[in-house]
Amino acid sequence: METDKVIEDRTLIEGYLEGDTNSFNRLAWKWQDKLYRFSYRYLMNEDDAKEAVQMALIKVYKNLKKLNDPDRFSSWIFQIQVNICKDMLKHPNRKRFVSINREQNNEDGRPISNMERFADEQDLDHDAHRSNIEQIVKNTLSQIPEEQRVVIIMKEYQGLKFKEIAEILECPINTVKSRMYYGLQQMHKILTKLNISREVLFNEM
Amino acid sequence: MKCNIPIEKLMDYFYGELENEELRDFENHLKTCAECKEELERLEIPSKALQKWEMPESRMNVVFMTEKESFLDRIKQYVPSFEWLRVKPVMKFGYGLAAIFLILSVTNFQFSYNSETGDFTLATSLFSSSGDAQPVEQISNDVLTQQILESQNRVLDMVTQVLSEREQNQNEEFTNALYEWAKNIENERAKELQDFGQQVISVIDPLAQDLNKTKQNVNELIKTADLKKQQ
Repeated sequence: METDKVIEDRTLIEGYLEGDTNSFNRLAWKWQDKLYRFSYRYLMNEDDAKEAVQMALIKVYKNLKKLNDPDRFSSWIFQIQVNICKDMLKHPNRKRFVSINREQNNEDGRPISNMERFADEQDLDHDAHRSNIEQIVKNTLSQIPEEQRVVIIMKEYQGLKFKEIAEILECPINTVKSRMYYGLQQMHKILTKLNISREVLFNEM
Repeated sequence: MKCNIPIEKLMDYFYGELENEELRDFENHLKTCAECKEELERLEIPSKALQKWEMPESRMNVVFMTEKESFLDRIKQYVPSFEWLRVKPVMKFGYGLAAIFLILSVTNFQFSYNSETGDFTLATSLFSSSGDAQPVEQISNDVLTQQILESQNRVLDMVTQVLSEREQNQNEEFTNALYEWAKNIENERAKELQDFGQQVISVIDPLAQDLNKTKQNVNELIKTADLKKQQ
């Protein structure tokens, strides 16, 4: 990650630890998108992803004081997010927190009813079907073993370096690289079976 | 792969993480190794495919809070009990004091000073007897000081433990409150859906009856028409 961003995180963390609560607000505001993008790709569901981000931010808020080295913040916060997402996948029937989000309310402040929510989801599905290939990619990715999938998401969508991924997952860097390789191999196999060739991918721009 | 280039190196090159000499070496290797070249081309397919899955941008606006919002307000708005997480120092002091009293009363400490011999007496008994606690032993000042220090440490340890347990309890309470609150909302939603279902049924039933009646009427009309035709 770029250096100026690391410095900025550090400044915000130090500001918060010195008692400036607004620093934490800025930190949360800054990170929520990145965490959401990761969680959405991992959980493949928008509501779950938002819930996961909230849980992560609350955890960060409660534990930030225990973080010894502010420079480790970015891998630490990702670590928290990964663990929360893993837990959510492990317990699909868990008790759910209700998503703390304004989209849960209508313009008049009344909570969205089930029917409205359903209509909303239909809309979403329609969005997803916008591109057939997108659906295929999602299905393919969901068939990849979880430990390889995390690495693929962090590399392809988050653009993290292998070293950073190794720090987050707390495993040797070569393990990360081989998981990446076998994950891509596996995806290639599935895509070939589905007749997704180079031509299909490069023409459908 | 038959080529002896490790897959780790291949991955580094594929994602642009090779530098200077290593990069040059690998590029030279690629010129002669068809196998690696092929492998890299193969890897491009899943990598390219992954980029086809875009974020639903319209939904990205607010994940959790807007720039102007305060994190704590955002949480508090939905979980009034979030305040529990922050224990006021006064309360901490109160809990500590209570813990010390509790420990003193359970262990039943008694100090006494004998003016004739000039000795301190320390009496402890876990279960208080009916009368005054009897001095268990006569001890010198040095030993007494040490024992006092030890007991102070013990008390301190227990207070710390009580405090940390208290903190843990608070966390649990917070989570439970969230669950409880989520459950209530879920129940309400379920009820809403049920009501809606009943409403639909109450609308559909008379409609179905009407339809049946119309059907019968039409059938009769057809029958009479047929009869007339035959006549």
